[in-house]
Amino acid sequence: MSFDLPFSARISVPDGVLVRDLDGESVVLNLQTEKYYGLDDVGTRMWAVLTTSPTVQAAYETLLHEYDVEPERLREDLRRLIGDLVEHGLLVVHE
Amino acid sequence: MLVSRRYSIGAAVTLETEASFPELPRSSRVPDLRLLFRRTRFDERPSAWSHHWTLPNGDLWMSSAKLKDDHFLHFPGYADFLMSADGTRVTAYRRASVAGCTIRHLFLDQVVPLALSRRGQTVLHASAVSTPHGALAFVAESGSGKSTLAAAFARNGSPFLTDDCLVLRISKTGVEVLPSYPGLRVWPDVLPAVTNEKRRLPRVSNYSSKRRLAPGNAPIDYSDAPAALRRVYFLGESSQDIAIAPIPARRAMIELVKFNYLYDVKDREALAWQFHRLSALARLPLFYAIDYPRDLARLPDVRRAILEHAAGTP
Repeated sequence: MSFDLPFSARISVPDGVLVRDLDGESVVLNLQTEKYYGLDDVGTRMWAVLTTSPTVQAAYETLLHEYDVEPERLREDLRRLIGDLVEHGLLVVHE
Repeated sequence: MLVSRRYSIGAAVTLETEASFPELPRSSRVPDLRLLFRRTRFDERPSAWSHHWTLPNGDLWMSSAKLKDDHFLHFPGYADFLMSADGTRVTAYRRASVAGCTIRHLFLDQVVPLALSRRGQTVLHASAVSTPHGALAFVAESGSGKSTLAAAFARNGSPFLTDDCLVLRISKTGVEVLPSYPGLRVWPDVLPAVTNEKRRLPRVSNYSSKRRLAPGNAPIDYSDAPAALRRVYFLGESSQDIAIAPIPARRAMIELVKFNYLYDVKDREALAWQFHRLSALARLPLFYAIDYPRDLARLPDVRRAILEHAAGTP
């Protein structure tokens, strides 16, 4: 899912969501839905940066610096990841 | 007046009950689980179910619910069980037409793992054997060959520790397997590969053709001694060749969750505790995937390959 995400927004992890880093990858549990999700190494890094940055734009700039990726491709990947995680109740967007 | 008997359900549980359990050895330990039988229906029904488990054909197998502080386990057509909040007392409500072996099987192989989960134990749907290298566990869906593998080891010098209820004791110094009771449940077509025993082996239940193998009725070894966990093998699909490969921690975690017994998936505290324990376990270098031919004639090769692998460095 890719959705209309303002990059000025802030991302946070809602109550009832647990995450564990496992050798650079991670597993996330939503206690409300009792469902587990896996993130690969890139998804794990995106999660870490998104949930500790003041805005999505700041996270985007950090990741653009770290990865050899086209800017528009990274923008789209972030939109898609955030859309998926928000849909499953694993992240909250504060506009 | 009925007399209470004490039985050992492996290293983890001592059972006290008035019923006879031919599947279990007697015990002199202090009981920590009591089982009562009622020959009546349990008429109270929960207002909401916590979870339903279905069979591969879509039929309902088991439903669970909270009833006040107790846990209600409903096996349609067979029996109901009411488990106390602390997992130390179970009442079985059986239908008169259901065979005693079926009730005992449901209790031993379905209710006891959930009672152990309720007590905070880590319990996986897996078989395990004891080898000179340590305990080896085989994790898979029902019908995927984990009992057959355990039986193949158990008749060739590596005693089995459990057929289907793998209890793990996790500490700072490592992970130990706590043995379950001395019985394996195998399909009739597997029997010739693991025993020459000609006597009629007891049925597990009246809804399955599986038979019970035990040290008393087949040439297999069982160990009641806890053993350090050496390897956990997730059984893959049948393949032409034997292939063993390590799996990353993230996948190990997801697989562990899938095969973990949890008494109530709606219990947030239990779910969080499970997440904490299984993620710590998944970080350990214990987990492998194995593909092998589901050909009984190749069982000796599979057993040798696993033993060689277990002898290697992590």
